[in-house]
Amino acid sequence: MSTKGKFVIKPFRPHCQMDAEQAQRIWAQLRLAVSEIYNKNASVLSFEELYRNAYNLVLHKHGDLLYDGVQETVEMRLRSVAEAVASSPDEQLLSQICEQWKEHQVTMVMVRDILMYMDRTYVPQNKKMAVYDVGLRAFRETITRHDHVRDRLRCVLLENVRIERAGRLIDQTGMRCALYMLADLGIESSSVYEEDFECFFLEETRSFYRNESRAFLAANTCPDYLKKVESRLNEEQDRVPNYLHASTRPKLEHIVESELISAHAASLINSRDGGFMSLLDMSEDRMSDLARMYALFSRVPATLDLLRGALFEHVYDAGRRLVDTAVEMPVDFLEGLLLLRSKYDAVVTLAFRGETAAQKRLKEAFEQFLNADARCASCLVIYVDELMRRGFKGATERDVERQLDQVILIFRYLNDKDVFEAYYKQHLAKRLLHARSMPSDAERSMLAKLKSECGYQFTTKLEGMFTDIRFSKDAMDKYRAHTTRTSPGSEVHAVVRPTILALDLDVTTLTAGYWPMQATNTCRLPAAAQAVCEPFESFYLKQHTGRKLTWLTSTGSAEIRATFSQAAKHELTVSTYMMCILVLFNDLDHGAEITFAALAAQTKIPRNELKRHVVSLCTPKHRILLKKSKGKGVSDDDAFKVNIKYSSKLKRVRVPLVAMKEAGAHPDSSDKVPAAVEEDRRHLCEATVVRIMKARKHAKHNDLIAEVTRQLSQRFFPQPQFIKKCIESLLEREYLERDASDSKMYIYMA
Amino acid sequence: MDAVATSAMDSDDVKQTPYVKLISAEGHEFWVDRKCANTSGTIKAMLSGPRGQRPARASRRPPATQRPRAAGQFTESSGEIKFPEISTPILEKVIQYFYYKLRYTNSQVRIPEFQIDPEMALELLMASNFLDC
Repeated sequence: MSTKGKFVIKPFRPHCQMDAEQAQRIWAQLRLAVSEIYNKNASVLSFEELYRNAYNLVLHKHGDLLYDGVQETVEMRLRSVAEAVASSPDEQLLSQICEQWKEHQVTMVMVRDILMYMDRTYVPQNKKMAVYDVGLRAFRETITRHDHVRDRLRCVLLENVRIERAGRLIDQTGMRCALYMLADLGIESSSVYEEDFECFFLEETRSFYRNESRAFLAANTCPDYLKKVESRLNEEQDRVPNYLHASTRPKLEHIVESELISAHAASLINSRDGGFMSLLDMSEDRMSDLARMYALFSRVPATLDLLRGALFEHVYDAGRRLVDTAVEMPVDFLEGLLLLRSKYDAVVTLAFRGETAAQKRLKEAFEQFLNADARCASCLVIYVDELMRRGFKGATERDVERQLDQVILIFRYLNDKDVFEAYYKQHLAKRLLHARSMPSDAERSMLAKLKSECGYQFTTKLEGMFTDIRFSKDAMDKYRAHTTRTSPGSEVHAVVRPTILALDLDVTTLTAGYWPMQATNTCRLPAAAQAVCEPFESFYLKQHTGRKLTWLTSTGSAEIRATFSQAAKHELTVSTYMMCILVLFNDLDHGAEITFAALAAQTKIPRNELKRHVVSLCTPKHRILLKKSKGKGVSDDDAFKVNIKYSSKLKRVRVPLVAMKEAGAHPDSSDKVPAAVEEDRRHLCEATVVRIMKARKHAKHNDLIAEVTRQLSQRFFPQPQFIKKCIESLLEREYLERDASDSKMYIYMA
Repeated sequence: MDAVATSAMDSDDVKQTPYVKLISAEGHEFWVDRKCANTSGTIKAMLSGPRGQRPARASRRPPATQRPRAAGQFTESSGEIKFPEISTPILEKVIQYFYYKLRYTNSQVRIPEFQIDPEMALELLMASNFLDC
């Protein structure tokens, strides 16, 4: 250290230890000051002096004196205040308490400030309570829990809430002050706010809303009730920031929600008087009510499931009803279906705010009722057919797109997409063959949509059909060029008979696998027709060696010129079979008859087909042939002759085929899948099994079933039983074998 | 009560005087920046009156606007504080420390040592205990 070396440690205060007497004197000063503060005379006091006094007391080990003294002073002071508060009447209790509370707070802050040193050192050392909290505790014990205050205060507070709920105004500031006071008084892990107020308040709230909701619902409709609930909830929500403590909010909300919403959820959904179900019936007009219901229910997630379930049920029922009433009329059915869809789609978007869960339920509902009836798929196909045939006239491209998109929406709901495909193919084939023109843009667009829905595989055959049509056109052009070249100058049309003036051949070549037609026995064509078919056949086979050409006489059509009398000359558009039938009459004498059996023998048309075509020629509208017997049935002995008196306003007459009831394309209502589809499914399923096994080499039975189901679900939902059958068939054919040790394990045989 | 509350509001709005006067035992007056003086918890409480910092359980409390306004203030709230037990050199050193503290709190530069003469260390210690700084 330095040379000075003199180190004097002086105490901070020159005078020495304070004795008890001196301490008492200082304390007396302080006590005076505290009561001055109570009397709001603090401005005459010196903070520094008071602080220094308190400081010195604590410093000289008189902290106990100070602490206990202050505590006693505060308590004494509050006792006198308590008497005043307790004796005040109910009406003034709230304001009295608030005023006293405010004063107490101000005072205690000041007291705390001058005793800061004590709070800092003495209190933690002796594990006491800080001075401010001592004040709080004293206030709580002497005033708010005073025998004449505690219960009265609570009653006043609850009464105020009751009054406000009844729609009258109350002193919110006073309420707020008193309730925050209770919250502030919660020290020493005793929550005054909860014990003295909140639990009573919540109980009261519960019984209030229980009674009110019951009474209101009994007297009013559901939408009115919901409006009431909405306003009640808003009120309660406002109540929290207005004067309740923030911690009450979740509890209060929970009670109000459960009393007003959860407790009545079932009746709100099912009530005939404007419940959810009946609102759905008129969803267009009651959208705001539905939206309100959803908004309220979404506060209680558990009830939302009920709501979605109700939506599901409603849609399902509506769908069932539609299926039951309209499935026989596919176009009406589809229009109804689309209407249904757009209606409930609007409900989900507007009322359910487009939530995914509700969308899913809606989808499930549609899927369930659509897939319950196998006819739905064919209805959809027939609807598309109708659209393609006669719709779209004058419709803009966008309209067409929109309508097709709607079809796709419904299509998505179908589980058995392959059934749809089968029907679609049938109708497409008819359209393509009968239209005798290139497929329209709408057809292509529909195909593109299907492709994007179900992938490339799904539409290969359909696309193949389109390609066939295109190639046929080319082939025909080539053939025509070929015939003109080989016989220059000669007529292309062979003139065979006076009645068949010119024979022009138009062949559409179809690839066997793509088209739904079964190769049936070719009927015997009239010689004239046969004469033009053969050159084409040889021409085609020369062009494409190795192919086999089968004539599908069941699907063709012909135009024939018929002379019934001098006055009635018509061009008839008929099917190939009809042509065969009609041409037979050329060989007969005028007015001669021919029996059904003879027709069958000479044309070699299958009997039921022949019957259908013959009947089509005898309809009242197109009575080209006359049947001998009366009635609808046709027997072998029935004789037919040409109706010489036939005439029509039109020169060109199209003779349509009658639909035979037993041979219609429309399936019965049973779940049965058409046989062709069933067959396709088996192939597909087996192929899938083999594909999976080839990749895995061996697989457990259950895994295999699961994987096959997953892969096939794109097209249809296979039953496990069905897959099992396929697997068994593969086992028999030794594509697979069972593992010797584990019978549930399959092994792929390369 | 209302009048006082208003004046408290006013002083709040005016932001009070930027400097406060600290007077030592010998009567020496120091004008100190209010912000610096507030380094001492005691001085801060003296200057701000009853609107001082509250116990930390603020979360359970009503928002600040609802707190009681000054119902009364001590004489010190005028901005002049006498310290009859602190001598001039000690008070000077304390004030130096205030500026030192304010200068180097949250500072990026290297903090120099605060020089204290050994002979005044004990008295300074007691003063700092008194002043809570």
